[in-house]
Amino acid sequence: MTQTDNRTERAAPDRELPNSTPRPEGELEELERVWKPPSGWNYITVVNNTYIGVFYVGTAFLFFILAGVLALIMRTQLAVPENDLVGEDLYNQLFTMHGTIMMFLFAVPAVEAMGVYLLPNMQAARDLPFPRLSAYAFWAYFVGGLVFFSSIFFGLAPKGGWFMYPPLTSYEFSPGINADFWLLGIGFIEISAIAGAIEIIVGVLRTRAPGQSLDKLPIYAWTMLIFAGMIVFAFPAVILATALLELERAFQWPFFVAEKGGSPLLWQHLFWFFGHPEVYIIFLPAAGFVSMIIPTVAQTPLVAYRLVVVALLATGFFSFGLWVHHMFTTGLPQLSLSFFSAASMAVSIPSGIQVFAWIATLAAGRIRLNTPALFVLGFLFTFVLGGLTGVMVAMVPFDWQVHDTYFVVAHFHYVLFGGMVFPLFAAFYYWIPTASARPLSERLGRWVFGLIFIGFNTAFFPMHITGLIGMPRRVYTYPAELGWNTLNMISTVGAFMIAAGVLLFLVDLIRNFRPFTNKSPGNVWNAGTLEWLPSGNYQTRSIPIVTSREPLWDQPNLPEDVEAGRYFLPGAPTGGRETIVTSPINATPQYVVQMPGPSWPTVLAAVFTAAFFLGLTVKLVIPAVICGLLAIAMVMLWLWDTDPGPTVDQVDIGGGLRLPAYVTGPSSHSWWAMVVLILVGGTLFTTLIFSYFFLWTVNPGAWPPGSVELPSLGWPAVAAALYASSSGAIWLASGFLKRRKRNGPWWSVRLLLLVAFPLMAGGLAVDLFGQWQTGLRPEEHSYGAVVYTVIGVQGLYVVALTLMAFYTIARSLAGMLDGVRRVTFDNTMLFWHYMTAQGLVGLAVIHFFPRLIG
Amino acid sequence: MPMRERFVTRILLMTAGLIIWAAHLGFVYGLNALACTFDFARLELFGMALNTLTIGVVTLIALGAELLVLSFAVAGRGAMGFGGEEQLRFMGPITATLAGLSAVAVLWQGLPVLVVPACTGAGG
Repeated sequence: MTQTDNRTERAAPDRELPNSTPRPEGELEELERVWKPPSGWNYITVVNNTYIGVFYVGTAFLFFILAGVLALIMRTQLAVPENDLVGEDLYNQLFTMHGTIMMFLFAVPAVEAMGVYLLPNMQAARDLPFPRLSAYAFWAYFVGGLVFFSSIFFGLAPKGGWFMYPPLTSYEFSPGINADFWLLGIGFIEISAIAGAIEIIVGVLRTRAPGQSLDKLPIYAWTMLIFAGMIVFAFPAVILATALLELERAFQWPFFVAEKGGSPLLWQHLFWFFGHPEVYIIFLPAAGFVSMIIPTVAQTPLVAYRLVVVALLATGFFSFGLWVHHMFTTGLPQLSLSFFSAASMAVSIPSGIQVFAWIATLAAGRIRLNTPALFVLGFLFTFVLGGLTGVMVAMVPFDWQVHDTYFVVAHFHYVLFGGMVFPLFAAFYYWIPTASARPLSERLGRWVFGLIFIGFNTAFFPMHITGLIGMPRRVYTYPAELGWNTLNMISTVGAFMIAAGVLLFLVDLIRNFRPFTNKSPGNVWNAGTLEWLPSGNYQTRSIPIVTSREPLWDQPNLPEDVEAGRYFLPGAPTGGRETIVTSPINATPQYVVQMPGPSWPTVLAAVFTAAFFLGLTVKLVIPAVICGLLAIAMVMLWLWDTDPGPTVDQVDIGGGLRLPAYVTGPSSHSWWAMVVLILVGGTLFTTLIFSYFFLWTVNPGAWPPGSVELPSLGWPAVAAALYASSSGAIWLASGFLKRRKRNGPWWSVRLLLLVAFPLMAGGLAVDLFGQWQTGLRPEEHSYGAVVYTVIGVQGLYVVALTLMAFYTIARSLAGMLDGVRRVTFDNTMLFWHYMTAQGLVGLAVIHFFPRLIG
Repeated sequence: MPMRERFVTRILLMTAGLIIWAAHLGFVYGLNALACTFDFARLELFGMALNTLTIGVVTLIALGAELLVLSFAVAGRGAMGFGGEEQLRFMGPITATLAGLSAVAVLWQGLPVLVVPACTGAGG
């Protein structure tokens, strides 16, 4: 056990707190100065999680309202038969935008935003480890999302349904740019979600209160860790799918065109490999809200904490084995369907574990029926019903009967609205006292709950019946004689009741929500977790040692001691923003990370990123490319001061504990973030290789097609040698850098970086030309399309690494790189080695597999 | 330091049951898809369809692996690195429960092979 472990375990029980009081004069003022958000126009550059989190949640809620308005228009259209309020074309846009916005612009960002706001508070960190990344994720989403939504006002919104199946959405049946808005327009959402996921994974694992080991981690932090892990492994599939469909639409590369060796089923596999986990990506954080709120309203610890962790992990895994249950009617072999039917039933076990743990906690304590409790009870009722119909549609024969009917619409609204929206409202009422000078109104809250709960069940329960008697989803009207009239009218009434509830909630917000004042009504619910500690822009005055899962219940005087500065890091010893980095299992303090503050380049990078994707959508290629280049330049500017090096040797955080203020290598939080990013890249590449093999199974005996010759093996051999040599050069440079401590790098490091670049680019060029000289073209057959996509993805890495290499050289020339201050180099190095590994695997698949089967 | 905590190893051990489940699902789905595409589902060994036999055997192997993880986690915490500190003792029962749960899921998704034909299309 380390010295720090001993201190961590000894300090609290004996009340030997790390720092004595009174604290030195000016210490608190310095802390306040460092963490103060900028004023005036610069306010927009704020990066504090308590501000970005609130902006983020607010924007997500705005999209909830906008998508809700679209739903009301649809419900009004369907209230009576043969209605002509909206035509079929607009109706198609309405349901597509409703689903897309609810899933991509509301649900995922909302839960991610809550994580940005809550996690540092719950873990007593001063902020998440990459505050500018959170700000970037938010602004890209805010700007891009609003422009994307505006497409409906110009008749340009996508209309192929939120899952955008080809061939309907490909160039033949969806000319124009409506589908491109979906494919490119949500590109920034995917980037934003992944940026947030990296932030959350590193934040949960590395910036916790000392002593907050995995067994004492708040359940919400567990849910966010698993949520972010699921984003890492699920989102790349939809990124690849959208890229492939856009390539097909823009350049006629036939991935999904059956007559050219493609298959529309490839889209369904890729989309649902993302789409089903997406349901749990939304649900798990909401379950985390519930697991935090229930112990408070029952005033007793969560029953079966460990089983709930088991349930969360199992759900996270099992949810990846369910994607084919969205494809039960596609003609796949029955046995294959049975595997996924079984997995679909298996996932109900961990969900059941959580439900029983919540019920047992409520039974073990004495429930106080406040507004958060009402919403939690509403969630339990609604979600359990949605889960039960989920088990019904997991049965293949039943699914065949109700597929694409209103029964399915009812089912997934019970799951998603019940499983996510009710907990979100519970979370609003529960946590707003930590963000606002006043809590929301209990009286109005009960009305809000009543309207939403009754409205929801009035709207969606009848849809089970409407579906069972045959009404298909996505029809803009229906004849009067089919017997659907009354049920549809009831659903419409319910929808407007929900709207009334949401409107009343807005009234409550306007009356009572007063954020950013640094005033708080305090721990109004008598909760046990750290987010209820007294806090300011710097979060908690000092960072406590945690010895319990509910430290506010079990550690006497904790709020007073924390506020008085008796725990760790009560000031700002480096003179800038900082927090303690802890080890991932034991939460042992390891070093103090110096964090960047507000920055214009971050905001501008986000705006230009959104402009790049939207510019491509409306075919303004040159402006889009300029915006893309500007986005890259802004990212580099923002990064320039984020690798400060050891500005001070060691920081005294209290209790005689002195921690380094800069760490490199596998202990560094930056290294962890790069590893997570590589996992994202690896998953994307794996899904691409899956696509290659899938397309092979679509073309048995013709892979490559008859007219295509494979390049001779000399081409891949040279390309592989060049990739490997470039990595070798980087490896040598790392060794040279290691030997040069603080006196600036040798010229050899820069030279090796310069040499590695043409070697890498040469590998790509040889690979590309090897295929091209055989006459293989991507638009003729799915074989060529997927081969050039594998090379193209490698090309993206080459471009990224070229930028990273020159950025690293620039830092070296500026005297900002040496044997100690080498985080930037390490990131480039890790990414470089990954690129080489991916290139070698790609070459092996493309060149050896066809020979193996041929 | 994180490396001394062997974080990656311990997380992989903790989720070993789920990883086995995922490998099983990936294998049986992939094998059945290939068997139907390339028409080797009709091949027989010992009077049984080769495809069915392979899936059955792989299911039994996966179940064995799950039980192995479970028994190690229950009886041999030290061997799995889950002895000692409190938070590591916390991970042992999670490992065992996940392996048990995954074993049920493996069994459940292996059973259809006994009653459902390999390659009949969903429509008929």
